[in-house]
Amino acid sequence: MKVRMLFAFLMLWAVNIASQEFSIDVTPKKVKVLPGAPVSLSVTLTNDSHKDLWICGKELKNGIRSGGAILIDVAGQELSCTQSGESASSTGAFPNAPIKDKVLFGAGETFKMSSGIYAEKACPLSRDLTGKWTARVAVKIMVVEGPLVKDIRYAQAVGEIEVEFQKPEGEDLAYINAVTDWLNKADPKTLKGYTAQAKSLTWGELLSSFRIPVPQMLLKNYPTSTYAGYELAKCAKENLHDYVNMSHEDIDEVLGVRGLIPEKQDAYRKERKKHFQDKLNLLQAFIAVHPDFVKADMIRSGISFYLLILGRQNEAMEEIKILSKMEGRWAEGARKALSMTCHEDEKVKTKTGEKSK
Amino acid sequence: MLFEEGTAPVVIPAGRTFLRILKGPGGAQIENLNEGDKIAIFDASRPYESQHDEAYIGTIDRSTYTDYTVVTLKQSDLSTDYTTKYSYTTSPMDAATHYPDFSQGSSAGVGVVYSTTAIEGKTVTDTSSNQINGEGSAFYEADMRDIEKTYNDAYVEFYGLRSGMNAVPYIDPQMPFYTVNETPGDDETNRLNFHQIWWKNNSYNWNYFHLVGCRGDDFVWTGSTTGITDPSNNDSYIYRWTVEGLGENQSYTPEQVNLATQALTNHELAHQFWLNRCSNLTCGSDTNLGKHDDRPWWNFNTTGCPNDNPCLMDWKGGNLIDEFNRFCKEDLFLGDPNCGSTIKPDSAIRTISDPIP
Repeated sequence: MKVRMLFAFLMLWAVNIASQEFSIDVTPKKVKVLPGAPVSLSVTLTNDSHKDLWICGKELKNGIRSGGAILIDVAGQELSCTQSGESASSTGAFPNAPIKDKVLFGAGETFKMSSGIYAEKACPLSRDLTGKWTARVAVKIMVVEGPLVKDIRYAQAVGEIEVEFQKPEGEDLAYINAVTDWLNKADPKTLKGYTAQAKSLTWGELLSSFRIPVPQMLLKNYPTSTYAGYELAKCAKENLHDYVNMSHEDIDEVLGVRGLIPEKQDAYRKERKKHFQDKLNLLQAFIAVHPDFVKADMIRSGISFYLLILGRQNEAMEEIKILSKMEGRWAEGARKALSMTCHEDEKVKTKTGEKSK
Repeated sequence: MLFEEGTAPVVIPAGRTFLRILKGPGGAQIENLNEGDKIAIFDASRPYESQHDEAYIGTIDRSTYTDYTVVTLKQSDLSTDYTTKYSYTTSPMDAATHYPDFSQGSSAGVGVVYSTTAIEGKTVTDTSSNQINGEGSAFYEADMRDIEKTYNDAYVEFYGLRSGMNAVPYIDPQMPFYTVNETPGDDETNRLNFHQIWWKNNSYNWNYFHLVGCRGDDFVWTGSTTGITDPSNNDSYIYRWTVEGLGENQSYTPEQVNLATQALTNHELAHQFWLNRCSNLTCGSDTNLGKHDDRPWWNFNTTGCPNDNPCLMDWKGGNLIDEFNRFCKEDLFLGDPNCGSTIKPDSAIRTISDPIP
């Protein structure tokens, strides 16, 4: 009897150890967002097994896979709006084939990857998603435990965060109504894709759709809606330092004028500058209304870039200074641009002797 | 993919003596370009099959710019400048990911049509129509040559419309495009948007499907996706390079690689009919991503997993090289027995009995 109890205890202990093999940390822990808007998640996987593990593949990313997060409501039900799902054909693993590549995932080591929330995007607009959800990210790990393919063990680690979908109001609601109306009235003969009757408009289509001219509708009529912010955030520029103190030739390169036959250059330069000025106006109008927008750093990065291209260096540097005080990769770009400008200033001062002591 | 600054599609005017080509993640999108290559320049509005520019690459500047590479265009003597005659419309680059945004624009790009530098082990010398992955082929192609025999069993006929055929730009596997995720993600979105740009029947007609032959991921011994279908949106992709990798792994002859491509083409197109829509019979495989069959083809009543006489809708496509590309009875006309009575009739190729109204 004692032996049996001990065995049961050992089994429980083993299960406990197995469940501790990997842990994942998903950030941010809480997200408040409009349905259909992009959510980027950072996922960190840790090898908690206290031993080095071999992972299948040439690099860790080959054997550690994470899909998008699933959404679970307060009743524990998974949100599933995909009617069909795709079907794929695959070659199977060949169980007795030798494992060609494996990479070590050391005890206590971490591996970072990106994930996102896509689950609500296939849901029709008629489905009210307002409220709190749990976003669950599962990471699958291919652990190699022998020389053959059949020796691969599929381990899994799961992490969760809280997501709150906000109810669209004001300009956002007006945009949704406009898109719905546009699709309902679209001519089926010229519409790219299904009519609204054949396939309901989904939350995801508010920001990316081949059947709706999303950027045009958003930026023309609802440029300060929250949804527009996500479209405008695409104007961000990571390597801002490349665009500081540009010559006219450099600006022509960015505008795409260089390499064009001379007789076309003036008209094209004018056209491209107008495009950049229009975008700048939109970005500045948006940030004035939404200074705390979740992607404000990307918006400010875009403003800085467009000001630089339009030759408004001083205004651009003011914007870059604001951005440099923020956090994340876009602010890092601004700090790099700023430091480069400081070096440029120093060079000038040295040349004129002002810095000599 | 051609690159221009900005978040909206840009019309690159005629009169260019060089092109800017999107680097993509890690510069992967430009790895296959070499000085001296002859390239075709085209987009969805001015496809390869219509009048377009073809020029030789003079020089390639891969390092000066972060987002793109500059390629000078030359005539066949490789010294005289080539000036483009036509305009092309880009799909803009997403600033955050550096991927092209296929929900906008016309996916302007280039393709190598002649190269003496081996690309993935092959030189490019042949762009003639209907050569179907022949020696020196510039294309990765799906293969419908066996389709008649297979679909005759269902009294269904496919026509590959010449007017609908065109080349599409190369997509490198470093882009999120070919992978099949258990939950939707960037790959699925990119495939869908790319299909929409290039499909001639994108204002939906119910009896058209879009078959795309493309590269796919590198084959891996743990199992690879060889094709994918989204019946909700009428697109099927065949991953020819992956099939070639399978062939190398399994010591297929070139003819057997073609037979496998044909079987997979028939298989993927069959997914368009929503076969096995209520089942996922993959013999417990980890590849649990599609609606497949473990039943025998129609001449047999064998059972077992995997079936000794697998039908075409087996999750691996059955035996890919035995030339028996036959459906099981449920796929042909009975429908999926796991579906309820209202859906079941819509889960077979043949859904209406004679006489067809």
